[in-house]
Amino acid sequence: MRTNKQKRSQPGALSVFLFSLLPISLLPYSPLTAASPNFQDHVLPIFKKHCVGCHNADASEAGLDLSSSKAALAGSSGGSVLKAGLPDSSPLYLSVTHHEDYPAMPPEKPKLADADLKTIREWIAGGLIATAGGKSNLREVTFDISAGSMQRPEEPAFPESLPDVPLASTRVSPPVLAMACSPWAKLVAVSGHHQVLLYGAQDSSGKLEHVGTLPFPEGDIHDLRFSRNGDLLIAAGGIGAESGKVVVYDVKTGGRIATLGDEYDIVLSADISADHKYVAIGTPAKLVKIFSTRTGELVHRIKKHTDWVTVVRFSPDGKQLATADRNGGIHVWETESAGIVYTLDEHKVKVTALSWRVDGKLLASAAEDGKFVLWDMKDGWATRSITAHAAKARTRYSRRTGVLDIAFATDGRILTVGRDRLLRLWNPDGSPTSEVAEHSTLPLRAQFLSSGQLIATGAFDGQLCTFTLSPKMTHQATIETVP
Amino acid sequence: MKMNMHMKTAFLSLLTLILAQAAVAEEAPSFKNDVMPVFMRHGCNAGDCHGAARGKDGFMLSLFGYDPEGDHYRLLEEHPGRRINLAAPAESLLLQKAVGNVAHTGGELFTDEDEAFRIIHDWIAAGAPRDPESTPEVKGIRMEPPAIEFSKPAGSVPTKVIATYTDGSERDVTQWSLYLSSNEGVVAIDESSVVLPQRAGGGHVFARFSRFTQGSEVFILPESDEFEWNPAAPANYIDELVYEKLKKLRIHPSGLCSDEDFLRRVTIDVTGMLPTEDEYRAFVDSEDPDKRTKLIDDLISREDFGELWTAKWGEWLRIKTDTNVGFGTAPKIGAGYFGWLRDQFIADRPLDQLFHELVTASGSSLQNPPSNFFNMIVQGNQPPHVIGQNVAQVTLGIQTQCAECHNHPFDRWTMDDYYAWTSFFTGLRRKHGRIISETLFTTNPNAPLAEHRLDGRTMPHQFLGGSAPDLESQSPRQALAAWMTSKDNKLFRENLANRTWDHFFGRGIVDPIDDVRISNPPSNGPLLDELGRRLAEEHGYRLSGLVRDICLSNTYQASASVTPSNRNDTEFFSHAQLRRPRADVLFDCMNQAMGNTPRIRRSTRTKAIDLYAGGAGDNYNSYFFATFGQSRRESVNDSETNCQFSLSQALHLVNGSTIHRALNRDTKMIATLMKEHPDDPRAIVDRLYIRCLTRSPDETEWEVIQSTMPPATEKNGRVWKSWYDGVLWGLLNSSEFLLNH
Repeated sequence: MRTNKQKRSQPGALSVFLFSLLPISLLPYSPLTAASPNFQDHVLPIFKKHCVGCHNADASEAGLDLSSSKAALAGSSGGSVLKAGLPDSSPLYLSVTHHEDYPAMPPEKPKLADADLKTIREWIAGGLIATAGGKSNLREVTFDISAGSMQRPEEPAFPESLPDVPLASTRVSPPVLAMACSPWAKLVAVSGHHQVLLYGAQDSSGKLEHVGTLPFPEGDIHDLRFSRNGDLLIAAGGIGAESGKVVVYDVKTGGRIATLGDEYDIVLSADISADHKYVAIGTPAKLVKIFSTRTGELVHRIKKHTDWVTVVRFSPDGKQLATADRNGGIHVWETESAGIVYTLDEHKVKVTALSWRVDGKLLASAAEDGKFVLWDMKDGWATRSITAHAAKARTRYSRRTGVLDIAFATDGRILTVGRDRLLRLWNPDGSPTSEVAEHSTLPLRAQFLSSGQLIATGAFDGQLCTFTLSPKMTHQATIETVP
Repeated sequence: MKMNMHMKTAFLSLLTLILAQAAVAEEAPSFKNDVMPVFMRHGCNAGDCHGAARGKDGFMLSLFGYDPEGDHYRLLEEHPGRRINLAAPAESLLLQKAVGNVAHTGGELFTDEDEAFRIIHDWIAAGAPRDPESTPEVKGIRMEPPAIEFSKPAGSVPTKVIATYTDGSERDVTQWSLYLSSNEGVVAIDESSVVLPQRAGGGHVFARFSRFTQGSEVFILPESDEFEWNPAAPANYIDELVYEKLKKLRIHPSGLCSDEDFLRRVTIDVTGMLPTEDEYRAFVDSEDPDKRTKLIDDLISREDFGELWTAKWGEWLRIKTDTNVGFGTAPKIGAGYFGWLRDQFIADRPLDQLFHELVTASGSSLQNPPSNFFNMIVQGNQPPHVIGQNVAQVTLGIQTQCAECHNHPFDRWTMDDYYAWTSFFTGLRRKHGRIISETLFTTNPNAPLAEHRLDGRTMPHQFLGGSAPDLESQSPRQALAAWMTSKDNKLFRENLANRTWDHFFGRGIVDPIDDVRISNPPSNGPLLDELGRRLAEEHGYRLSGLVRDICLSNTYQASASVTPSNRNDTEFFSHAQLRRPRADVLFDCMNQAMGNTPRIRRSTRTKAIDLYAGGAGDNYNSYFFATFGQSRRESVNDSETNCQFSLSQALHLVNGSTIHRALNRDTKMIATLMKEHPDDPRAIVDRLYIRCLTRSPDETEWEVIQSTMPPATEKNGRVWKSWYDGVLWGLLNSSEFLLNH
């Protein structure tokens, strides 16, 4: 398995021109296939010049020998210095790039040339290949489409007899802070102003239309989730610095089944387990709470995160719960016991989204560092760390870097949106596809719809967009959430 | 009420919509010119709130608004939907927090009926837009009236702040400005811009708006209406300018000090030594009406004068002799640099030439000592911006380091200024010379320009507060040296004048001397202006000329005893202040009084003033000097040299080794006196007084001393010697000895 170097053509004058005509423009992506650097041909010459003088088989300073691929992988007396696929977690790379927490290497000499650092980075990212044509040390990521997919309900829930609720009239559409797509029906729930707006089509080929409105007088909505079978919809939110609630709705009738939580600030994220027994929430109070839907009681109160809990997601079978915070921390819990399963340490800044693959074997995390990470849930190993949305910012403190949402398709492909305004599609192993689209405003949410045939995105300007995927990712429709 | 909030929402939203649209119809508020001033005025972006480097409670604003683009991002996009609610502006957390409807560490800042609320609300209602490119920016502010006079310490005067914009428009920004006073004890200013006098005196009040600070000068006259101004005739321009200010403030200057006081004061100040007994007699006995002038000219012509200023500038330039091959310092190099500097001051070389040579010097640190300038001033491998800020502080007296990360909150320096200045120093290079301690300093003419910290823009060279250099015909360093030392560079010449003045009065006209900024104005602006002008134009930057002017003035020669009207004055130079000499001068004076020749290792010289900072084994900064606040040369700050008194200093003088060792050593001086005046204790005590205090004891003092004297029948010379030691010890410990008065 190789990671391919990819180069994308820059959006030129044409796309700028299109911009002025359309809210969305599509950009062609042309990935260039090229082999990753290998140790023997590319990395060893650099090491020989700068490192091997002190780190060799005879004089292995700090127990580190960089004169051969095998020895380099064996690490130093302090342990491994190279992590396949993860340059930013590899002590060797952090040392040569003069990361403040690591001894600057080579000592008392200027940093290596940028080109050399790039080669080392790509060698690590590509899986520490020893020789030309050698095997990558990246763990293989595969996906069996039939595995773990749930049975489609005979009649997926669709709004039938919703009460007539007038649309909140606001001067502009609020940003789509939350969006959820039914796993089975062609149905999208979008956050409106103190309302959940439902757009759908009875027929999978039909056009998305406004099919109902659910009041959420509790405040602003920050997260929406359908249950695994699509019968229930939960909305989380509240009033900033004042109150937070989660409401569980019946999708068919629009009825409120439960109201949970009595928080002192907005509930930032919530999810419901596959068996509908539990609802989990994450709050700015750095807490994860798990409620019983039957009794409404608080079952677990987990105090482990060090910052706002930004996202909580149950595994497809509901047995595990993944939670993440504004400080880059991710934890995986056992739902029943609230016992910790893994602590996933790769991001250092706000984690914006988590998504489980449908078979529950892979968890994807997305963060403001511009990367997404694919975690093997067999042992919590970071199999891939992909820089997905990172563009140069206009000023130091304004950002064009950051992944804002991530979602798995049922076929294992991955969808991301980010601060660079792009919508991108990735292969199941995290390698890029040519499918890229550009948004005119900041896309905040992205999900697959209709069993992966469509993509829905929600943006800062309140627009809900759909894209078809066959044969190529193509903008299909735009809905203004406030008509 | 909050329970019902959602019920009202729909109606509220509709209402908001109508109201908002009515407001938008006029003109949407500008983010930079309307919204950000609200943050500034209400302290949102202050250093102890969201302006802190890491923000507060998870929300950061740039300190005093140096990064509008970043602030806009953080408000809208960092956590979309959290802080700004575009659909329902009034519900935005930003506003809900500010009015205290929800929990807010900063409390309630304004109400929903205030202008501040309306501005932010209307801006959000307009879609919280970034400002279009064409939006005018603040170009400057002025405070009105520029000077305020109170006839007594009572009453109040409102002020107004007017901002001018790049499109030529003006706006009253009084309600959006922040106010501060240079001296709260004399004059206060409240948050609504009203000036409130506290007691008689002079001071400044300041207004801050956007990145600008401007002040108004305030005079508060004493209550009594009887004021007759009748000082001595001014001796020179210094007195004229000092008296002008004093007259305005109704402060009478003190009269001239006695000949004895003058002799002691001017000798210590100009040469760092005490007058000898012979000098004392000659001066006191002379009836020449010009004797003070002649004494001044004599003192200035001595080498001691140059040595004293070498010591002072050696500290500011941070000459060190530690062995540190890594950044090119070694004993030999420090000695060479110090020796070169000494030559310049002894030759009374014009300071503009001296600094021109320092700024342009290249080559070997051994062969060409001034080439050590940039290296020594930072002591270590420091990036160009640190060199730039140290050079600015030493040569121009201004502190720019705030502007590394944000616009200076109390001065005019912006980040743009800072990085454009840094570009002058990016080309400095050093490499090892032929021998280990030698460093070769060169300039890379193709060095890249400094990059702006916020957005990575490269910043072309620009002088601080000045224009861009012509780099066609000269290198950046040559351009810098020419600009710095030009006769009309007010910052440079006033910095030199102020540092010189400070030495003779214990206080700069701007004080501290290396923190010149708008919010730290000179206590007598015309005086500093004139001193700088005279130094540059009349004296051709020769230190001796300026020192002579100062010493000749009544202001310098004034007595330390106060008049009823000048008792509280510490900044307008109406009377002499008691000053403790610097550690090295004090050490030299003590040894001179004791007739002791101290052993100073690694030096053939015998005066502490000739020491320069060295490594282990040197006397520099040994116990006495460290205790008495000798500069450790750890920074370019003038405060490295400390002339305050402390308990440990007093204890050291009473019990410590410096005096005791000298006295225990068979003090030849006392033995000689005893030989010269056998059986005449009065003559010996008289001479000890003159050696230490430049005067004879008065009758009362003599009576007290006499009462401790051994009986006249005592014939043992050791007993007498020990008693004279005791008298000398007492004199050296007296505050009269320890203070220059």
